[in-house]
Amino acid sequence: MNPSVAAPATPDAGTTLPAAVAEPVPQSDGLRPWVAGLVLAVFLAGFALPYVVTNDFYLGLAVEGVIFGLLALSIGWLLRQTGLVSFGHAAYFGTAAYVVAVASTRWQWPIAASVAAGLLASVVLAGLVGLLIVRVPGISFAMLTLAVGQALYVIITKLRDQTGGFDGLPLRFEGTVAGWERVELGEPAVFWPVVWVALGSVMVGLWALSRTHYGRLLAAIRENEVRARYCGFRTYLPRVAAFTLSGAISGLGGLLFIIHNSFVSPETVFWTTSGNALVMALVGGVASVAGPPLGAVLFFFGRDEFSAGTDRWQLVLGSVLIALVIFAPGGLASLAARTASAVGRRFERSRHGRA
Amino acid sequence: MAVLEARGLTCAYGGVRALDRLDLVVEAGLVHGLIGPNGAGKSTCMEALSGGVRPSEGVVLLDGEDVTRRSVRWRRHAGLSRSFQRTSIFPALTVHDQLDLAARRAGETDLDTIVALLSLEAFLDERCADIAYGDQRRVDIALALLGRPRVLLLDEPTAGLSVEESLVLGDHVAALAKEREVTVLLVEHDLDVVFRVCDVLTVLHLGRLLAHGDPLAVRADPRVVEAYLGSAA
Repeated sequence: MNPSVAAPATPDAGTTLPAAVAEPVPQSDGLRPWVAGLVLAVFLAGFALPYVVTNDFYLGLAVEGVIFGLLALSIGWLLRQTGLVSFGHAAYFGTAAYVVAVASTRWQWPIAASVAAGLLASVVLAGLVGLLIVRVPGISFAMLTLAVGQALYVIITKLRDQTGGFDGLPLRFEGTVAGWERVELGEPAVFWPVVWVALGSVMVGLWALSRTHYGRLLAAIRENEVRARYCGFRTYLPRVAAFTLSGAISGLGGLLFIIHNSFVSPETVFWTTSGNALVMALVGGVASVAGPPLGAVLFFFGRDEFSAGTDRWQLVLGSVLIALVIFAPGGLASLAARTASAVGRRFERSRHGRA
Repeated sequence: MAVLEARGLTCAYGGVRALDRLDLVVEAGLVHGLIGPNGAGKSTCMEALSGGVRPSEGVVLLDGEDVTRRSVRWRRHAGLSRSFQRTSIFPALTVHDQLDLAARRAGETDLDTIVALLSLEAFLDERCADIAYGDQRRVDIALALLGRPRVLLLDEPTAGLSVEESLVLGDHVAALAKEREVTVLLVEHDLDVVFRVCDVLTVLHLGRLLAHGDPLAVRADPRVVEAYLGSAA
């Protein structure tokens, strides 16, 4: 046997992160009071949207934007905290949606049990996939997530008896969800508060989590996994947990999607859904929890706006993405934060100048 | 008393033996220098002792216990810590956040003393990526010092520093070895630092032990002069 040693562990081993991730890691300090007040005001004002936007079509776009904003947020948070780029998160989104539809429509489970099963299925799938692939570095990880997503797509199209194959599957259930009939849940004005609360809760939860010991540990592992091990940390399980949490948030998005639309098709788990969500996250910016949902809402409104005039609307999307990567690599949320910071500094200077 | 020991340590990369049946005994409470020309096997030795690579042959003993197959993490909790030849920190975290994070893991209760010992007070709220290289080196050492390790492996801590910075850092090393009662194995090319702080020296050449003993005796050894020191002696 040829004696040899394992490859030396270099302290800077790992992947080079995209510029969008190379942002300051959340510090352990709290939120400034005026920022907290502004966030709370925006959140409360959001409930008034159905009274301001009375057109069901546009309100529906906003609801879709928020639902897919959860998917984009799950991808963006994973990227920001761990440096892992997923091209397959639609798998967990679609798994939740399909399990709810199959359990309720095919097996006649109560809707509450179907919803619980849907969320559980996405968590279990994400956990199992995470256990298998989070050790794999860089682009290989991204390709594996893509492979898992596409494998699920094929399984769904083949299980025609259960999933309806390429025809998709409608959601049918007896009774109500939180007092609403199925038809009512499809109305944007009724469903808006539900998605708004879900998004707000997830954003606050992820923001807080990023500032905990666990959040900083994830960032440390992302920055220098070898050093983290030499500091005595486990580096595998924390990333598996982050991947699973991210999958669960995607699953939550999938639940809201099926409850609102009452229909799911294989397109939901196709790689383009994952790719679009990644684009939404990058356009909005992953450095902030507000970025990916912002990118998702703009994506839906932009698609509606530009696809009305051309069937090549992706050209516009691609141009916007290129411009953002060049001129604002941190995404729109980062651009907004930098602008606000510059305005603040100018205001301070002019105030001192007058004094 | 030996706190860290290598017996017949061999690390081979294909046909190349970076370490060849090395026997090394690091006595408790000393600053032990490990020197030699480039390619002598110093960094490989540090990797094998700390668990970064698994040796082809031989064993590593920590306090007499065979730790050859133990993980990096296990050895860290057992009291064996290290810094790196290339600065190894968490660039996007502030100095405070990364020290605090690592201190909690290591059970360090006296972070302020380490911060003061390495003169890091002024940079605590700075992102590590934004501070000077010499300061990053000290953060690297601070990370290794947390939790009162019994053995500290320092791999070229003065690499990239000016002469003045190197001597200051050398003094830091000597001071912390004394104050924290930590045994130090120091790989270093800066001979001024080596002869200033080391209590005992081992010289490697082509993966083998060339000389070992008191620094003054090692410096006068003709084999060491020929293989490494040359006119520097």
